This record gives sequence, structure tokens and C-alpha cells, in this order.
Amino acid sequence: MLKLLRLISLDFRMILREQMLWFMFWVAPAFQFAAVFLFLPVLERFFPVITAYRFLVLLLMTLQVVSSIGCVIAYMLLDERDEEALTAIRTMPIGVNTFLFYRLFIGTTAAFVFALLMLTASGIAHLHPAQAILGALLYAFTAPLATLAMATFAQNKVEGLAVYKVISLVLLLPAAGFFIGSAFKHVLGIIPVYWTFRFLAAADAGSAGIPELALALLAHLLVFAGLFRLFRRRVFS
Amino acid sequence: MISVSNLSFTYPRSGAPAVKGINFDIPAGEAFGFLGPSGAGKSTTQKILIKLLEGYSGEATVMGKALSAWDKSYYDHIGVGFELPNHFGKLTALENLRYFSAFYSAPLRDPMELLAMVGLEEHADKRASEFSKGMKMRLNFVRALMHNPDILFFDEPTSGLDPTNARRIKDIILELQRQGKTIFLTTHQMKDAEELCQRVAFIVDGEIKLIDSPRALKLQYGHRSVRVEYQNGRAEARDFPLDGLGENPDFLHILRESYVQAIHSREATLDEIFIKVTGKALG
Repeated sequence: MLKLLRLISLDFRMILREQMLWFMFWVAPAFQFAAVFLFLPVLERFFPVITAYRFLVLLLMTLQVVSSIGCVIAYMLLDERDEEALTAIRTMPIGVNTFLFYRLFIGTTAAFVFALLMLTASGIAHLHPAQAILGALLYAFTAPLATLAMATFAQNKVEGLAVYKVISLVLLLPAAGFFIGSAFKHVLGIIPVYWTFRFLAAADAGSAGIPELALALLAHLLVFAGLFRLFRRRVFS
Repeated sequence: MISVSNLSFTYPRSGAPAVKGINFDIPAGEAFGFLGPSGAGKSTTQKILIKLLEGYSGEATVMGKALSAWDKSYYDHIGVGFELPNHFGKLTALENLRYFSAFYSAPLRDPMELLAMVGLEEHADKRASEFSKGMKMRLNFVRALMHNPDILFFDEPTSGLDPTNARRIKDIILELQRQGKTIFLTTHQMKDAEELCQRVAFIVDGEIKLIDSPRALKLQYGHRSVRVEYQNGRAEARDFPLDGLGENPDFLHILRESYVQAIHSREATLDEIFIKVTGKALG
């Protein structure tokens, strides 16, 4: 446990020592929180039409928060790949898989805390506490997916920024599901966050949302497994 | 301690094998030098032995156990000093050692003591990204010693170091040898190998051309003679056979009558032997 705390403490030092990382980890989420907690109520006063979309705005802002956390962890991995620190870790008894899981776990935990705050403290969503926790957990799973996608498809931090932009756009696509009436919208389900949206929408409407939750977990698991294998193959082969 | 039999490896998407059926045994406590030019297969062999490369053919056993049968606990027994620096640039030297130490369960050496060994104690709180290449290499080196392993793999351990620090690293390697550690040293620095290794292997184009002790090689391939450099009005040099040297009248005359500047025995250098055996120069 002490060793885990030491790793976490040193990882946070690394985040604090690079401007872009602490910006993405602290400042960018703070902006999203401010947008939901401060600006959205003001906008609603001037443009009442927005009220109908406040739940969607909450979902998208929460998504931005968790994806920026995923981006921070990806940047750390890209740095460590450049510095060959990952190669050194491969010759340690912990093994590189455990290290990767640890790193993804850090990102997932931070994303969970931020997402839970966003979903519960904003007062926009009407969720049972258990549903809020499950919803935050599903959101948190987006962080490791963003991390793995960035760290797999980018060769360095500059490419990482471009890949992050693409990932952000892809993650926004499931929002279109709210505007598509036919069953065709479920095609968007290949993007796991679509099921997170559906679960939270069902929960907000008073349903248990069990099928959506199950599909969300399955979609995240499948995409995670695929990306993890791809990452290992690209980085360590 | 390390036994390799008919080991071959071909990189994916490469037609030619990088390592071609090599064989060698390293007993416990020996420092074994693996010498060859760039691209000879030295680092590939080392990567196989530290389990960074899979898909090889042949046999490799370490501490009596097939390499493939070892799990992650293998890394409790070996220490690896890489050819290129690999640290967390945003962490200080001390933080780097503390970070890596979190991956071991066994008791570890004091990181400050390790840094002091290589003259980095004053730079313990400096970020690794601000280090020179030589400082990074020294940090690489001590990281391999952190868990006091039985086997050490060093890839060009003196690369990028000034003479003082290269000496410091070599002294540590000699001390590790005295402690009974098994050392696998990959280098193209013949002088390092000569000084540090009990035996050396010459590898070229993925094949081992020769394995022997540096001393035996130098005697086998050298001239049994001495060269005397002396002043006799002007600078002169003459070679004399070692056999019967004490009774050689010309040699004795020079010793008595001339101002002798230097006397060298003419055993071959490892560089000369390498070129003679392999037909290739190191570089």
C-alpha cells in the first residue's frame, strides 16, 4: 500500500511539473465544472430554450472532463515511451501490464471522482445515488479508453494532441442519438459512451436502466480489450 | 549460471537472422564480455536474455531454469543497465530510484548510497531531464544495482562517460565481480572488456567467432618479443625475441649503454585480434 501511495505521489508530481498536464488535469475540468455550475444557469435565464438540453449539456461536459483525464495519462505514457522508461519497467518484477493497469486505474479513479461530482452536485440529473455511482463509473471507463487510443495511435506528444482532438470528436458522436428517432441510432453503440448516455437517460427518466448498463459494461470491456492488445502490440513488438 | 545453446533470432519483417545459432556458457561469478561491432547481434542476444525479445529458437537457461519458464520473478535476480538512458525525465534522480524501487518486494539498497557510488549525490534533487548523457548513464547503472541482483547485464556501461567516471564505473564492476556477481557485459570497447572480463566472445553478423580469456588471446595472437625504445644520439627502436632475452647481447648492450625510454612486450591487443579473427573492425 505504501508503495502504491509512493507511486501515486510521484505521478502527481510529474503532472504538476508539466504545464500542459496540470492544465488538462485541473484547469480544463474546472472550466467544465464552471460551465455547468455557473454559466449554464445564466444562459438558461437569457435563452430558456437551453433548458430542454441541460441534461445533454451535463452529459457532454462530464464527457469532456473524463476524456481530458484520459488525455493526461496518455501524455504521461507517451513521454515515458519517448524516454524509454517503459522499457526499463519491462525489466522490473512488477511487469509492464501491471504498470499499465496501475496507470489506467489512476486515470479511472480520478475520472470517477470528477464524473460523480458533476452528476450529483450539478442537480441537473435526477438519479438514484446507486445510479449516479454507476453512471460515474461508466464515465470513468472512458478515461482508460481515451488513454489507450491516444497512446496507441500517436507516436509522440504532438501527434497525441491531434489524436486527442479526433477522439474528442468521436466521443461526441453518440450525442446524435438524442436527435435520431429510429432504431438506426443504436449503430452509435459501437462507441461505448453511447451506452453510458443511454443508461443515464433511462435513469434520469426513472427507469433502472439495467439493459443499458449491461450493454455499456460490455461495450467498454470489448473496446478496452481490443485497445489494450493493440497498444501492447504497437508499443512493445 | 547462463547457458545458451543454438540460439537464433530473426526480427519480424527481416529476412536475415540477427543471431545465428550461438552457443556459450557463463559460470557463476564470471564476467563475460560480448564484443562486436554495431549490428553484430550483441544487443539482440542481451534482449533475449533479459526477456525483452521472444520468438527465438534454441535453448537459453539462466540459474538452471529455461528462460521461457521464468516468470516476472526473474527480474528479482537480474539487473539491467541499458545502453541508452531511460528515466522519468520530470522526476529527480532520487525520485527516479524511489519510483523504480516501488516495483520490488525485496529490501533494496539506500538510493542515496547508490547515487553516491557514481558521484551523483549532489545531483540527487535535480531532474533527470536536466542531466547530461553521462549523468543519465550513471543513473541507469545504479538502478541495475538497486535490488542487489545475482546477475548483471550491462550494455556499453562506459558509453558517454568522461575518463574519471568511466574509471569509477569500471571499479564498481570489478568490485561486483569480487562479490561473486555474474556479469554479462556487451560492449565494443575492447579495453573495457580486457580489463573487466574473464572471458570474451567475439560476435559478428550474428555468429560467435571465438570465445576465450583476453590474456590467452593476447598471448596466442601476439609476438613473443619486446620492443625497446631508446635514445642513442637519436630516437631508435628495436625488437628482441622473448626467448633468451636475458642472454641477448644486443639487448643487454642497449640496456647498459643507451638511454632507454620504454620497453613494451608485444602481445596483441584485443582490437588486433578481433580484426584478425573476424576480418572486421569494431565501430
